[in-house]
Amino acid sequence: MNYRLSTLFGLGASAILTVLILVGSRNLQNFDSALFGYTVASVIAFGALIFRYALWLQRPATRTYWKRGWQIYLKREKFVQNTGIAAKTFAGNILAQSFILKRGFKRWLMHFLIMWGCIISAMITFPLVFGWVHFELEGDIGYRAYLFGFPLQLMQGRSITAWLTFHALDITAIMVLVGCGIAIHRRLHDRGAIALQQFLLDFVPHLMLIAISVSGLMLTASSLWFDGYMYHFIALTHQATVIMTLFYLPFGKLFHIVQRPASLGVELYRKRSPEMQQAECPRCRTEFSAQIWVDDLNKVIEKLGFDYTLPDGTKLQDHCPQCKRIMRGISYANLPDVNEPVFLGVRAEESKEEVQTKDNV
Amino acid sequence: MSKVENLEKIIEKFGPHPHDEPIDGWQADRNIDKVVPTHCPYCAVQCGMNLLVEKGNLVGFEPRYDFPVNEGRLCPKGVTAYLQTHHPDRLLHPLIKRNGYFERASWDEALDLVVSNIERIQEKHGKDSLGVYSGSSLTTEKTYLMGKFARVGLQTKYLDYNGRLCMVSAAAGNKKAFGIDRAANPWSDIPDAEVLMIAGANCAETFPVLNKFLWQQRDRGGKWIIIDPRETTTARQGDLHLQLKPGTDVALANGILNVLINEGFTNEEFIKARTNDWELAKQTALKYSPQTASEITGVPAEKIVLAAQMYGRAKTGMLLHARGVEHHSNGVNNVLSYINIVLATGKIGARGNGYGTITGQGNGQGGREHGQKCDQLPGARMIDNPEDRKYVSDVWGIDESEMPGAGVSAVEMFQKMREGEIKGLLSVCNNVMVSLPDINKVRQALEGLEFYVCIDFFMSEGARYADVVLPSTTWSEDEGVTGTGEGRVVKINRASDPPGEAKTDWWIIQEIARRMGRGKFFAFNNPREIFDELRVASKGGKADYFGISYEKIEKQDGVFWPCPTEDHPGTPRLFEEEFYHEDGKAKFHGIEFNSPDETPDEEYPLILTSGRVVYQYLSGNQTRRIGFLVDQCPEPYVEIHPKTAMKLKIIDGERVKVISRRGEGVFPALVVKTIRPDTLFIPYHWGEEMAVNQLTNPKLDPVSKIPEYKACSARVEKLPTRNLPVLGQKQKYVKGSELEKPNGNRKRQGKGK
Amino acid sequence: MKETMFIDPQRCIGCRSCVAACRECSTHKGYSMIFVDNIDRRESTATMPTVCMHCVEPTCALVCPADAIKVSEDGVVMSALKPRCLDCRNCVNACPFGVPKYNTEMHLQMKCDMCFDRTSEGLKPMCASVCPTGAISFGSYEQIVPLRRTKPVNAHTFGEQSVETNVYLMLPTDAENVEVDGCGVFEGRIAVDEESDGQESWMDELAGETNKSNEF
Repeated sequence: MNYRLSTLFGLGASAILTVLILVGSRNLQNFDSALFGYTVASVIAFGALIFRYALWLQRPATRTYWKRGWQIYLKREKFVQNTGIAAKTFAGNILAQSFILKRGFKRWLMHFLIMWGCIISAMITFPLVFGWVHFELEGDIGYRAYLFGFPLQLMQGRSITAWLTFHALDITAIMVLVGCGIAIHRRLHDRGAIALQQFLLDFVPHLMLIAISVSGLMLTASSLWFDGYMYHFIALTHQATVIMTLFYLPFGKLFHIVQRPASLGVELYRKRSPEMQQAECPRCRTEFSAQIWVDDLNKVIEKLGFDYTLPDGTKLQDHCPQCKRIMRGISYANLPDVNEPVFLGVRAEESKEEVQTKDNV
Repeated sequence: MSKVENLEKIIEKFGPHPHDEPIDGWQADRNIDKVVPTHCPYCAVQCGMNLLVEKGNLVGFEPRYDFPVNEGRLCPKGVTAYLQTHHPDRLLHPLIKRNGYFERASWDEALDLVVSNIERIQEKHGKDSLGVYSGSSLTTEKTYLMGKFARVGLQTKYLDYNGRLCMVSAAAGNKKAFGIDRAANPWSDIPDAEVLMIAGANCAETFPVLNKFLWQQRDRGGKWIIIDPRETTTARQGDLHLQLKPGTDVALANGILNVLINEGFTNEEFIKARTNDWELAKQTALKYSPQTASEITGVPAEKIVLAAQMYGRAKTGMLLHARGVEHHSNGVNNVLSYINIVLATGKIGARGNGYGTITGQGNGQGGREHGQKCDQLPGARMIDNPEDRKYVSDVWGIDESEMPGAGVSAVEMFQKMREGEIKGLLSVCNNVMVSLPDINKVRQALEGLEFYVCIDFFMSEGARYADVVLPSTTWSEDEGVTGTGEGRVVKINRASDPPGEAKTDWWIIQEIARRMGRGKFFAFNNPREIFDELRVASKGGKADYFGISYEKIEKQDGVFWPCPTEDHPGTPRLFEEEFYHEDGKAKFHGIEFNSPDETPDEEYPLILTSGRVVYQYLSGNQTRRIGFLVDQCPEPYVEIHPKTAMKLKIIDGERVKVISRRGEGVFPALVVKTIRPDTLFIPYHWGEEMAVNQLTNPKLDPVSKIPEYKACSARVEKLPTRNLPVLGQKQKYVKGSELEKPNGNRKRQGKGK
Repeated sequence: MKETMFIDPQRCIGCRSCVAACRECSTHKGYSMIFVDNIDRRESTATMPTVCMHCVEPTCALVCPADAIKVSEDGVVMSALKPRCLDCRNCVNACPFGVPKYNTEMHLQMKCDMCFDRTSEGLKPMCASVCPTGAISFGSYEQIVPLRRTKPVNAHTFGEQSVETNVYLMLPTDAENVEVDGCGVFEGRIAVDEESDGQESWMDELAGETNKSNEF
């Protein structure tokens, strides 16, 4: 692993984000200094995330896939088609997550709520924090939103759009809460999940999301109904939970958020592989995968320091999974026993005789 | 009247459809309300298992580690057994056949129809014009009730059960030689035997969990001698395989006895003290030198000698046999000739020294003890013995003169149906169109009946011919005891309620009796009451259950009969002191070799034998509906040796026609070296045109009346066309909703290849 | 006294009880993660049971681009973490034993995890519980090995590569190691059937739950 390179990537990412914040907020003109803590945390977390991502990409298998994915995507004659496939996969797998639906409706609902709750929240809060978006009161009529300092449409103070805009975070908080509720319920009841889960990996992220959502909702409640009772304390708590989550991102379960889009490449690879030359199992002559895929895998395995070369020059991984199992079975069966080959039963002697007669002929 | 006219419609509606998941799908987050300890519904090992119940539904199983026989082990049938209970093919309502279609009816309507037809037939043609054909997968209480119902309710002498197709040769042989019909040793004796001789039993596929004991014996350095025409899994794992020609067991056993005598391995002391008629057996055996035996059986003479030496030299040894020996027109002789070996070496009646027949059906042992055999009364009493008749008549509260005499065996009963002597049939717990030999003749018999009522929980191939089908319960919906293959009486417990309007078999039978005005003899409210009467009825008989109670079974993990008194612990091992003939001695028999009814000739040059596969159970009515099992073995096939296949130019997987004197069938060829070149093998679990029993020989053993399933002459023909269904093509899995029956959300479709 | 699996293919009767029972495990409810393959039905009834051997240095985990396959403290190689698995099938094709399974629709790899749900409650894995002959046994070395006449080995050689596993294979007494060279045919495949020599019996392919490439 090349940590230096990854560190450089991380630092670079933080730097770029800082510049973007400076530019987007018109030299901090639109920047809300109350959100300074958030901003610093975001910049650091972003750098850490990129550092981690760069490290991840250095795994031999990941790098091979990464390279191969782009290679296939950028093939000139297929570019348009590939973009189509990628868009469709993105819609199906990333936006709608149909593959989770196949694992079960409840799981899908849970994940859908949490994911969209978080994404929408992030899309609202980060631009606000970075000063990329801000609102200005225009007389009695309503608010005007500014994006990177450019004015957008005026919103009526009592319009539905305005209500939705100002309460969007409450809605997403509720989505996240419901999703986490389902997830925790499952984790407490599903015997499979109970057996495998670890508190730090599987519960902590949910608890953090719940803490963010609850403290966020309490902010709304405090300002709406309780005249800002304990507002600062709640705000501080909220900030603390958010910052903790941001720092948790690169390390725990939540890393899959940035990792998952890589499945686009895999999907593309898979969609394209039927057109490619297929790998044929040298033993049973069944086509079981694309040749390029098997070749890539063999290279990765080699890079990792394994050598599965068989006496006949083929690699073990050239064989289909069933043949690998059967080959092992045959090796076992042919082991010399004290009396006779293990599996052959009483025909061992007979067949030896017959082999001999054949040799004589 | 009983023709099947709309077979496709019936199959579409009632299956068999493969279905492979619990009632509400596979779920990992269940709240199990109840864990019910019980036993597997299938073979005679009667493995213990725990059933998991959630909201009244059977949703899974858990190994029952504390049951001493299997210690949690199960075969694939046992693992998937619970899936049959909520299967969408279950019969939920009484069905009456009108214009060739089964239509839903109320219980009153259906039962009244049954009773009016029974009464009409019996009035017109006499009491004996009605036959009752029962089964051995029923609990012992129900088998007892069936015997009582036929004799007291219907007052017919024609009663028999499907154990007749199973192990009656062993029963008859055991009775002749030992005076009692039960496995001599508990299975826990097997590991103590230095050598095991296993004849005609592919334990690996037919009694998988029994292998636990076999391998324990192996781990202690024990040896196996396997006698089987096929190199089955058991034979492959064994130390010595005698691959004999089907139906030549007597010659082989005599050959082995010959060597035992000549090499001085006989136990003269034992023979003198505890047996009779040794000279008879000795003189006969001396005629069968290893060479003579080798010529008849096709087993190399030196292997016969080796087998005798291995068995003779060993200090302890057990001999086990099963259907391969018994399913012959000389089945009883086969059994007796093997018993001669056991008695001559004195390897019986002690720890590690013993003999056993491995019963096939779940309650094969219990089901044959309490009076549903055509010539027996409860407690293994004989119906033609005046004392026994008197005793049982008194228990039942009838006059001895009212007790019908002995009837005829199963195959003969169907013969009588064809001849018109039996006009009506009540069958429960069997599937005649799969399991009887020569089913084309059986079909004629069923079609000629005036009235046929069938009690079952799935629409079996046989039930399709019925006029009325009454829905009953699976094993998990009722309680009662069964007798395992080692003579241990265990208890099945109720886990869930019957679905729809299905009722327990004992309720149905009693209700018919009540409507016939015989209700006073059938006023049992639960299986325990039946069991209590059974205990009394068996008291003093050979199979004495008097000292057995449900509580004792639970406390002792089963009770071995005979158990004559309440403080008696049961009898795990028989013959330790004496045998059950009147003089306390066992009997030798001089048995001459007779070839099977059919021997290969020019027209039919091959020997066809039949048997089972591990994934299916008996007639397959239960197992052919469970997706997992269907996937593993979707259809019957014919095993052919490559030499024979090459001669006939048959390729592996090709569909070929197998023809015998009685019929023909088309089966895919499985070209394997594990079978004798002169032998064919077809598993028998399927019906109609997939049945090997279109071909098998209905010739009966003169004593036990068992049909000759295991040897008939046949030939194989290449088919002119290959335009036939793809081999092993998976059947589409059925969705519960497609049948408008309650079922779950998540469905997995079969993945066609 | 660490408990693990002991596989003794000699005893396997090919009943696939383990395959059916595997579906009852909660971590992969409804799907079986164990294999029983006919070695060569034409020649023999011999079968080979395959569970995950839980390699000490698992190839599957190392070739995973998503770093989704983790090894537990006890050396149990787990199924891919669901959020991470990209369903690339690298592990399926890389595993020298042919163990992991995949499902494209669910974007998921699953494999035998030694019944984590059961062992964590002190129960034996399902396959080892139901196996009629003890071809698959679960227990500690001290419990199992003294009862057997076979020799426990936890090293395999695949051509040039040797692989150490946490699961033991029981060998007939005088063998040292299992060398998978891939060239072997069933010993005793003889001349009677030259025409179809080398062909598999149709029964070899009839493997219920899975297809050749391990899709479930």
